[in-house]
Amino acid sequence: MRMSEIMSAMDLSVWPKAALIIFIGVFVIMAWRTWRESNSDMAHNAALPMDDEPHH
Amino acid sequence: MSGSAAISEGQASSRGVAMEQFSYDDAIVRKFLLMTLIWSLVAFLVGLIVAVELVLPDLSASAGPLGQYLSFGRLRPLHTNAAIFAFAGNALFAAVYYSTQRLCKARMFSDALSNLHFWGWQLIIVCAALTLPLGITQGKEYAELEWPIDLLIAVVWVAFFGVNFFGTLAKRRERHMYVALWFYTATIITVAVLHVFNSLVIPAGLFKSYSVYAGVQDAFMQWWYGHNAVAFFLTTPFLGLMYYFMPKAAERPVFSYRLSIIHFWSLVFIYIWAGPHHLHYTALPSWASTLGMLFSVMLWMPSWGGGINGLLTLRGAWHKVTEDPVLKFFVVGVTFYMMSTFEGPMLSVKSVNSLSHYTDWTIAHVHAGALGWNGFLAFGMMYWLLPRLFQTKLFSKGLATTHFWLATVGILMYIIPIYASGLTQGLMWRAFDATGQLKYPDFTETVTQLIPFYWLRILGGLLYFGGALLGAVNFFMTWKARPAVYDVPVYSAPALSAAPFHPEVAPESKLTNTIDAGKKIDTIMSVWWHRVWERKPALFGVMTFLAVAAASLFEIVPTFLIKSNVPTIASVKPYTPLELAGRDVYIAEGCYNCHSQMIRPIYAEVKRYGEYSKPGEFVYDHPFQWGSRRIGPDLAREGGKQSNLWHAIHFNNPRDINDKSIMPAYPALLTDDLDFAGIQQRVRAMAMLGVPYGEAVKDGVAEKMAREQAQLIADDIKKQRGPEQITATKKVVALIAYMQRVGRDINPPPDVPAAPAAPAAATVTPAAEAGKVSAAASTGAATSGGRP
Repeated sequence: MRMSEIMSAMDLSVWPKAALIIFIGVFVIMAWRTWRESNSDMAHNAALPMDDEPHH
Repeated sequence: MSGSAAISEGQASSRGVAMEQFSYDDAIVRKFLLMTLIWSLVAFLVGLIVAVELVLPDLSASAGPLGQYLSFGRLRPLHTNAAIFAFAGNALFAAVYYSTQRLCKARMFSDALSNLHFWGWQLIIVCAALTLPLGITQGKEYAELEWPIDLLIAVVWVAFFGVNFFGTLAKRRERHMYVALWFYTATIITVAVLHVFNSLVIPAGLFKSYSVYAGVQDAFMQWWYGHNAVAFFLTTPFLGLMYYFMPKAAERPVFSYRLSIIHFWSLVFIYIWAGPHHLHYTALPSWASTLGMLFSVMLWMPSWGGGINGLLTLRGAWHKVTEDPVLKFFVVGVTFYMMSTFEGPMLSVKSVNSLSHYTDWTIAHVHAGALGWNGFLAFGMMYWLLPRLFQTKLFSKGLATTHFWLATVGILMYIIPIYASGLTQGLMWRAFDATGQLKYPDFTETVTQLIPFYWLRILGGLLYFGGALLGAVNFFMTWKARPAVYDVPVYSAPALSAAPFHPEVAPESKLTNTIDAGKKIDTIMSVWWHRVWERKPALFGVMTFLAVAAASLFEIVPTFLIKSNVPTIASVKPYTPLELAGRDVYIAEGCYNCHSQMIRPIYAEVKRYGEYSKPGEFVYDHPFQWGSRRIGPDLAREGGKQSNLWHAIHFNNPRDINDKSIMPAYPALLTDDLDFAGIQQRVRAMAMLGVPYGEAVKDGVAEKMAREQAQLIADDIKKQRGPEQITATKKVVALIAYMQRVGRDINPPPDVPAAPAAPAAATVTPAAEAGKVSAAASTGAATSGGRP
């Protein structure tokens, strides 16, 4: 059986649902990751552009 | 301009930590910034010219023999390419080269690669500026450049820019990769993927090629590319620019670094899905365009999150905005970003799109983004960089402020009339009278109503252009005051390996009263692994690629593999060799810039143009020509509506048919000879793509068939007492053959004996059958209403 035949037999409505679930999964992981980060690390990272010409 | 000499990266010692000395390469930033300004003037000027051509349609023809190179259809791609790839491209490169070195505390990986990138990119732009007016184009919006230039783009982007950027990340002295670098990483990876896959073609000569995709699939790939060119060429790198230069100008860190992380991943993951919203109600399967719409609406969240993050970076510093032109540009730029990213998802909603699509509304939207967001950020960055790069004071703060106000008023004067124009056009197209007939059946009526708006657009464009000219004066005068030799500061920082950092091992779980599995889950949930990614450019790049690829494949794989997406139509045949050559003339003249070939299943459109377009009608269209704008009427059912003579007169000067038409005149088509000898190679290239040309691929057969069909059309024009100069060898005959064929296959006319006398071997081929259709079309009577 060819790939196109397998794909054609699938219910098309699966794709948008799967896409949405994948996105939500990624979003939750990223939100969780930023929430777990310490404030001091975040402050340090945010300040990097302010200290990008180190001592002569 | 003096280049900063490379300082050998020596070592020093500071309190027991080995310190490395280095300098930044600002010469490359100066070069990119200069070209940003120069190409901005070119892009704006060409934009003004094409805007004037819409109100003075005889302008290009009045240029004499040069006119054919200056028509709207040929210059409009030059305008868009210059704005996107020349102006915005050089701006983003200037931003990347300046900020990446400083955020990595390292000189660029290779000065040679930096310079190869710079000169290679300028060469690409010059090639575009030469080939597009010559009609050398692939006929796909923002991807017009022919295959040799595409190859050059791939080499310059990946081998020079990409290697140089990732090499710099690899030798950086700052452990954490700041979020601007994430945006640059996504830009480099995704643009490479988009460019390579959308540009896959079969060459039919040095300056001609055919997309490997056809019809629905080509449309899908093109707008997957087209939308994400906006996303990853005009948005992500400029967000990186915002996250670096906004804090620098405001002299305070970004409002929320947490928000910037969410902004990045959400944007990268969502944006890539949104392309199909450019194809609502077309022959693209509904599921794909619905998916595009949903993800477009979801883009509201990260886009506004990022915009708010940018504006709130000015917390406590708003008073500076009143005095600092740089911050003025940035604030208005980010505001335009938020406005455009609100409007974009709104336009992607199907019901809104049914009104807005093909109208000037889209033009207003993209100019709000390109001039408002990209333009203001680029000019803001320029004013911030000028004194630093040229190591002197900015020549005139007042001039910069005047530039800001001219640009602000100019852009408003541009977009407000064009929004009105788009709404006017959309509403007129769908207006019905009390008897159920189209209220404005003559398409020209819906165009002439827009002319006052087009004049206002020219005024707005002039103001924006005038502002950029003031920027050029400021640039030049600041440059003039530069020192004889640039100071090249030497900085020092500890090598990365010596700097303290978080250990890259999983932390111990703090849970005590639980089983091992629970502790493992707790460790994973601490998301320490993401911090590891952020320190490893290659791994981070791979993860970004996966986010983009996963989203792309979810749409691409079903679109290509599910048969029901493109139901075949038995009566649809390949174009005859002459029609194929005519189609190439259509593409070369850039007709798709004004005419769509896609009738949506909307009553007003079916009423105006005919039966709605079916996916199966386009299976031999390499490339698709659905278009995105209707300055002229849709042509999807044009075949057979007018006589051959009507087309000949119309191409020579549309005003001879309709005095209110704003279509350019193409007198050269009636005098220039068609390259019959090149047709054979083109037919063979199409056959390689699977188009069933049968015997026509044999030596000389395609040319013979084309000449015979051309003679039939020329004879018909002569019989109708058409212009004497139209002989069977002229380009216009091939274009007429194509126009008479468009959209007829689903309802072919009864066979007529006037078919071209194709070679005996070819008479049984589908191509020959298609030739009969065209010949039948040549007898079509002039029936339709006015045309611009």
